Amino acid sequence: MSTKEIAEAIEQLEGTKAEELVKKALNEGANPWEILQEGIVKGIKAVGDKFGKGEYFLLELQEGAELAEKLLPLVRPKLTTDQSKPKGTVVMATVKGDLHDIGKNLVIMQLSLNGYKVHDMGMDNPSMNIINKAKEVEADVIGLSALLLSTIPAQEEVIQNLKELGLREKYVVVVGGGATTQKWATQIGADGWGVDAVQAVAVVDRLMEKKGAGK
Amino acid sequence: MDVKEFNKKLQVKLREASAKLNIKLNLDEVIPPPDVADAVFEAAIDFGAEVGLYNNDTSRVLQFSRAELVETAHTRKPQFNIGEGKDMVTIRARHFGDKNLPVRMPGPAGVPITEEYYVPLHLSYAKLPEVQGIVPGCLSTARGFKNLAATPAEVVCAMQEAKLLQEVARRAGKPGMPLGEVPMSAMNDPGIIASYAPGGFRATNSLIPIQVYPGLKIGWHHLNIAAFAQEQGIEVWGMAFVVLGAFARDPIETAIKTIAGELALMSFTNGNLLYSATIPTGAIKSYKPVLPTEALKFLAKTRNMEICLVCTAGAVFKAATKASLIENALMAFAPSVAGAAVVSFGESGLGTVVNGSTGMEGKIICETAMAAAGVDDREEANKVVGNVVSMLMQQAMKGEKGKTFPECYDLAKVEPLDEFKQLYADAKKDLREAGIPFKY
Repeated sequence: MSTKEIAEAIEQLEGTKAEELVKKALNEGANPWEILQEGIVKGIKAVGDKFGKGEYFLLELQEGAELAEKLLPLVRPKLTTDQSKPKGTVVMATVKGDLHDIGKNLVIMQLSLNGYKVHDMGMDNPSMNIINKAKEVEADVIGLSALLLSTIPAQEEVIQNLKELGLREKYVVVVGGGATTQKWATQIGADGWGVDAVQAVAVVDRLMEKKGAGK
Repeated sequence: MDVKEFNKKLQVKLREASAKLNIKLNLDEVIPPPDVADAVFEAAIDFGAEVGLYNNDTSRVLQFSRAELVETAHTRKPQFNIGEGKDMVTIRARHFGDKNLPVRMPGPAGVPITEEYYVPLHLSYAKLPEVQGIVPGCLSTARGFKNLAATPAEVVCAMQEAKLLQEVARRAGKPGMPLGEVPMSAMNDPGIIASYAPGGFRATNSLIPIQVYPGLKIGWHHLNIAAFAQEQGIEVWGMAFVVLGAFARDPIETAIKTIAGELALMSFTNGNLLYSATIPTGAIKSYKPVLPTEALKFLAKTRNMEICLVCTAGAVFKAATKASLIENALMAFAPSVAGAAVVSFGESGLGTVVNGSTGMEGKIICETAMAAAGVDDREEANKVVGNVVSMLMQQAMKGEKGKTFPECYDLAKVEPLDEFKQLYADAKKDLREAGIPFKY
């Protein structure tokens, strides 16, 4: 029995099979860290990649997330404290005035599938609510979504407020959404921008790595 | 109900509805066979009655019975008047092969436009002889205030939009022309309602937008605007926004979900007009599933309802390029053949480039829609679409850069510069050769 089989079962969204394989691997004394990284995380990443290629859709992403929620508690007790930690804590919000959330929801699913603990604040969030939430949950990353040109200035407002409160360096701030671009992200002083949900994970991974190195 | 539970139910039921139909759509054929369109319409009613709309603000489902949705489908007004005085137009339900011309209401819908160019850019659409009404762009500043959603600036911009658009109508010599999907400069309730304050839009000259969000979601915003529209007698410019490749996997599922959302929308708004656009996810990078989806949605509705439908054409390519003109014509042709009552939009650069659309894009969709009226041979229409797609692919390889409105128009006369008049003539000539039957 290999971790590859676990990854494949997850990729195919075969929940019962994946669960049995993980239990069997643990009973046989396999390294739980390897089961997590080479089995579960790889399988979940494959689900996300298939969505990016148009082979899977939102339902499959949702099923993948539910499967991950089911499998992780099996492995987590066997991990060391460090190993069982999420990759990071993210606060995701659609900014004030914007009532669109499909892009944000996709990013949340992709980040969750890739090992982040994500707090979804929903739509139409005043900037200070977002900052207060980030403080409350001790977030590493603030993700700001906006679809329209009339709502993207609210992304800048969050960054300005963070600066005024002396909190800018505490958080990685990433922005995204229909009307945003890399140029816009640079202009407002965001740390990162992603064109879609799949890229968002790579951007956050990279920025988290950088943040960790800076500590 | 938890939103995740609703999302799952929606997708499972959608897949079941599609599987039950057991139809394999031929994507090389843009306008589908009539029996496919009819089956999709029936499936949409069943699906809509089973799933409903989800209210994000209350976490409750707005459920309609099958009988209610059928009643909505059969009781829409087949025609209504909009506009004032000599500029009033009658929007009439059209059908496949209809010889009546669709109403022409182009405009830079949602394109960000600076205050300086707001009037002349809209005038470049409104003054065209083919044009009977316009849809506006988004005013990015007003009296020095940057348009920021859910702030007083949004209220000011929406009120200013109403004044400027009526000024455009006056300058075009069509003071009573209908103004569709207004206001475009506000998306929150205070700005939208403020644009109807004295001196602003009126129930007689405007259509107010209400869109069901992706995933069949609504909120208090939708119900607030629906209540306002009904109390004021304002006709609704309605839409159910469905992303192809997200909850819905393919054209059949997209059409089922869209029509279900539209029937539910009209049930609570009592609206009589629907506009449509097929927006694909980033994973879909060709026209192949987009055009048949749009045509299927139109045909399913025009065959099974007496309903006024708006075709919204637009281009990924930037303004004042041949590719943009061809793409706009492409997006206007099949829905107009399939029975669009109104042709609208006509814009470039996905509507995101500041001042990045012009009346030329509006003119090409109007001329194309007028040419499409009376085309009643499905095979011939599909052949034309195929020719135009091939032409567009070739043009796309040329890498045209595109211009903004002030770069390609004589601002005093509000006319395209000679170079761009020629570009338009060349594009129209190519489209004619591809088979679009322009009369003039």
